[in-house]
Amino acid sequence: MMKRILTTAIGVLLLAGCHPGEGQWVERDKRWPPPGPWRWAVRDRLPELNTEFNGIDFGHAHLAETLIRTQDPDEIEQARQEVLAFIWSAPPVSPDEEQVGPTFARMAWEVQKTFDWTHILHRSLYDLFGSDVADKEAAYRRILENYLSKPEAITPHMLDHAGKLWSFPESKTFRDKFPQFNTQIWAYHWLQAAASDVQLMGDATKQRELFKPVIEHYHAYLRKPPVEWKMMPMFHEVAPEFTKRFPQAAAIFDNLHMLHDNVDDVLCRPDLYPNLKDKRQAILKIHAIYLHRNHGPDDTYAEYHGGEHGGHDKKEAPAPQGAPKENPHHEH
Amino acid sequence: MRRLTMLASAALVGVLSTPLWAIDHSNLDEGRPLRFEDAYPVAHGEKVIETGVGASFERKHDDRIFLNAEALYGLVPNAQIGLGTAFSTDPREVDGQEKSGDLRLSALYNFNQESLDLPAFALKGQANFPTGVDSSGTDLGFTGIATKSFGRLGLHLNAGYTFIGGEKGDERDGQYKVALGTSYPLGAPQRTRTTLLAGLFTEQSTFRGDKNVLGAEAGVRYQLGTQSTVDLGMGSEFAGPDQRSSLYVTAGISYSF
Repeated sequence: MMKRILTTAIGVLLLAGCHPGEGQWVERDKRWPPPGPWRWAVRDRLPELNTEFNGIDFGHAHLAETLIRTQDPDEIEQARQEVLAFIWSAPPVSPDEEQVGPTFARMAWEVQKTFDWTHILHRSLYDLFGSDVADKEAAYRRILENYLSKPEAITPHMLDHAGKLWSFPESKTFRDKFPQFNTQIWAYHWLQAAASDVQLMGDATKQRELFKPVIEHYHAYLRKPPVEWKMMPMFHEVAPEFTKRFPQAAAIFDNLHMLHDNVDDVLCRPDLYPNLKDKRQAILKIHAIYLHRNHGPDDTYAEYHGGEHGGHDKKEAPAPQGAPKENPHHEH
Repeated sequence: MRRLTMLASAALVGVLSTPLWAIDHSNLDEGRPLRFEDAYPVAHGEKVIETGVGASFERKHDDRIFLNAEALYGLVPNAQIGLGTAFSTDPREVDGQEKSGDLRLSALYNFNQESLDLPAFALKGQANFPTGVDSSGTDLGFTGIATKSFGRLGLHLNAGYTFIGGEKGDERDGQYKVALGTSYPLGAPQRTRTTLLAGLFTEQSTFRGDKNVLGAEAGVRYQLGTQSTVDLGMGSEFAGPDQRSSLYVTAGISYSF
């Protein structure tokens, strides 16, 4: 019997362990949010904000899947409207991004992993600052350390978003071809940054009050995307207090948002990257820059190091409280 | 039969009305609600409690109600371990190596994420301990699992062999099982909370000389909230030996934390 067991086990292992498909053998590494008393605080205490974040989760995945399939402006616009409809539905749970964008997930799982893990960091920090945890700074350091310990984590160094990272052959294509969808996405990023500063202004009860005008302002952006914006909103502009107190997290989130822009640009250029494998190679090449940790002057990718503001000029930020000012993201 | 229908309905209502809050709701596990599973474990660090109730309408034996429960844990990246059991009415009438009250220990390791060309592969090992009614011998099983998708339609192949300990009389000392299933998120991309499932399966009969059991099943999983998923399934062993189920139904709930 033991011989039969061993033969069967070895047979199955050999079958499962063979590595056909050059360069596409990727470990899944799906992770559960890190444990802590803050978990689910936004869901339970800030449900209005939670539904907005659930809506945002759908937006990127649906856009990527649509851009892989088509560049037809009408279909892209239809996808944008579908995202809006999803957001207006106030979804109580996050969509399953692997089912929303199945082709992208299978084409570039390494990048999807980075998105997922960084979104978990983002959600964990929102939960933390919506919770009653007394020593939030210590908990922040714990969450950040855990995030950075995983290989798919994005560097906490500010990269040169406005310069080198937006100077690839495909850069700015999505912005210029589909300005409404592009700025709709930037509006998600605006809300995500604005929420970070609002959360530093009081406890969950106070935050619920403060979020009302902020969410209204965000909805106005969704109804009329701010196409005059020529660069993505940055944390130091929209969430100056959060950026001052938690610069590494702010840099990670700015980098994440820029990585989203880079991916959308690649997906918008079938002339440069005609098939899925070409798209995958182009995206992975850029992805490696974001995973690299040090970005010192003599290190690999040194040219992508962005200094204090990721290559953006320091400008007055649209304050998240009460009546936010217009976002001055014009190209300069 | 009427009593069974009422009990199953009551249990289902109970399950569906429980106030609850699965990020991993599309992750398919054996028994929730169908026999096949996908090649993915629960997330690293995730703990899941899966419970279910069901009824089996037998061709030769008395009809039975069964309850099952399993705890899963994403112990290390890409792997889960599980501990579960199942209870049945008329426990002394249960055929097969798994008896009512047996403890089942399992481990699943996923080798890779599905890519453009490659399916996802996993290997599952399972030990069934004779802690139940009239049970004898420890059974060891191995199952190879592959998941390949076409668009949003997932295909899942489970092929396994169980080495049966403590067999009696004409019972086999080993049994292969093969299940092929599909999954599809109803309403995707806009809606991904509901997953439709259907599958076919075959397994060697409990007794030597009997024909293979052949069956078909269908089900649905629905994400209730961030951490909870409910499921419903039904199936039939439409060919095989006389002692088989002409219809079975099951309903369950999974809670992640």
